[in-house]
Amino acid sequence: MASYAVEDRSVRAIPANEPEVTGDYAAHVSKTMKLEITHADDETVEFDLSGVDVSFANALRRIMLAEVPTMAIETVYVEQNEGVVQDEVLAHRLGLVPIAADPRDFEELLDPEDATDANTIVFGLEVRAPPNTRPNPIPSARRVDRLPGTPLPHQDSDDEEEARKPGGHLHTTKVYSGDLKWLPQGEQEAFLAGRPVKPVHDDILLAKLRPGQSIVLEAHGRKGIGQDHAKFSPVSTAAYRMRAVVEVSDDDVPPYVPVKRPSIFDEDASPDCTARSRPHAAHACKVCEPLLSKPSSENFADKVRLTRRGDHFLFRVETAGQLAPLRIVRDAVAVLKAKCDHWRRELEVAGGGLSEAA
Amino acid sequence: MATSGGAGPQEAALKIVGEADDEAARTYVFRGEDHTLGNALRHVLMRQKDVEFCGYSVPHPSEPFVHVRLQTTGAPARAVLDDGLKQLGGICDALAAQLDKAEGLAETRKRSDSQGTAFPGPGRALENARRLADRME
Repeated sequence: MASYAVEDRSVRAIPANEPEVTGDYAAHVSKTMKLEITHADDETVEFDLSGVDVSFANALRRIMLAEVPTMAIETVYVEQNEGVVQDEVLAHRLGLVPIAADPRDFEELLDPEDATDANTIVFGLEVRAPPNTRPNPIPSARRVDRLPGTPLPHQDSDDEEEARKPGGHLHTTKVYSGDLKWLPQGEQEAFLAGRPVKPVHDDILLAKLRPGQSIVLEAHGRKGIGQDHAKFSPVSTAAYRMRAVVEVSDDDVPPYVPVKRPSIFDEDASPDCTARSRPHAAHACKVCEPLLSKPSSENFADKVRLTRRGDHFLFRVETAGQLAPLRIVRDAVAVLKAKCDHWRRELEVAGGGLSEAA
Repeated sequence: MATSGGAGPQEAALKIVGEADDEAARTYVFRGEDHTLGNALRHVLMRQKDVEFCGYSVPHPSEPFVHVRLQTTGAPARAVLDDGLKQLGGICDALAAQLDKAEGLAETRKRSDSQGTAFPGPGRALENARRLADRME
């Protein structure tokens, strides 16, 4: 591995601008903390979080992945399943379907026996494939006699096209997530008025049926977290990287280095351009070696220093669909806050004494 | 959010280990927690006054416990831990406030709108990222 361009990837344990000890650390952090949303759409949010410690940024990331609650199908009561997809496989697939339902509307369900309208959502799924109304045109004896690879003599393309239509013997019925029908329970219709519970995507293929086969089932969903099962995780990506610091020690460094991707030194850079004068380039910088490319002069490597800032994080959060991306960030903050409050209460309950067993 | 704890009747959610005659040194065993809280809390405690040493460990990855060891220069460890949790919660509050500000929806945010995505347009950094992307071949 070439090491000419990058040195010192390490991160300082304590950022230089942070005092060693402070009486009110939260007050200090709330002054240094800075948040800027750099991109937001229906599925993704990107933001810069700076002035916090890496442990806090990482806690947020971990909570977004594993501890922000969502709703998902948990129990499936199969009345009839004649398809090739076995009950347990079908139930697993149903569980993975993202459900658009606000988890704040529901309580946690700890025991399936306690299911009520406050903690359970119910979907019905009933798909019946049209039966084969046309006789199979291929006599079974002919099939057996046929040499492998030999086309069936009388089965032209028109026949097959006809047979694939509903009622034909080759017709395949597809079962989609959109076939899941929400069955409001108890007061749900009232307190979820205007916000119907439904699968996020209607076009997730769940199973395929032959003519005459059917699937009839009832699926019960509950609130859960990704730690329990990945189907509850609200994100497809929640990650951060550290902002790059590019230091150029000598302005003689050529501003243009031919590379095939965005570089800190790219084509329209003016001759007096240094990384210091182009902060956004450092923003895009991923601190990879090809970024600096092959130095055009041998002395180039000595003049550029690439490091990372230990207290500036470029987050990217992509939702899996259940919650808006920024809502996931919000919920993650709320979960961490709730943890702190919870343990303060526990500490108070425990009192000043020691636990029995050492 | 009752994600933490799950305090079974058999074992307390929070276990406190230490010497009875030395309030300044304690090991706290949090049930149902992991590196998420452990590392963040460790960092905050290390920034507190009176803290001589603070470290955390997850003794076994398949057991739901995190141990936080706290030694102070004399103050009761209990008070320092309580303050540490308070400070960590304070940082969360600060970030929540910043999120409100960044969203520009602090006042108008409604529960029913929470599924929506209405924030101000992308900032300068996005433009820059786009410009860089355009130069990609």
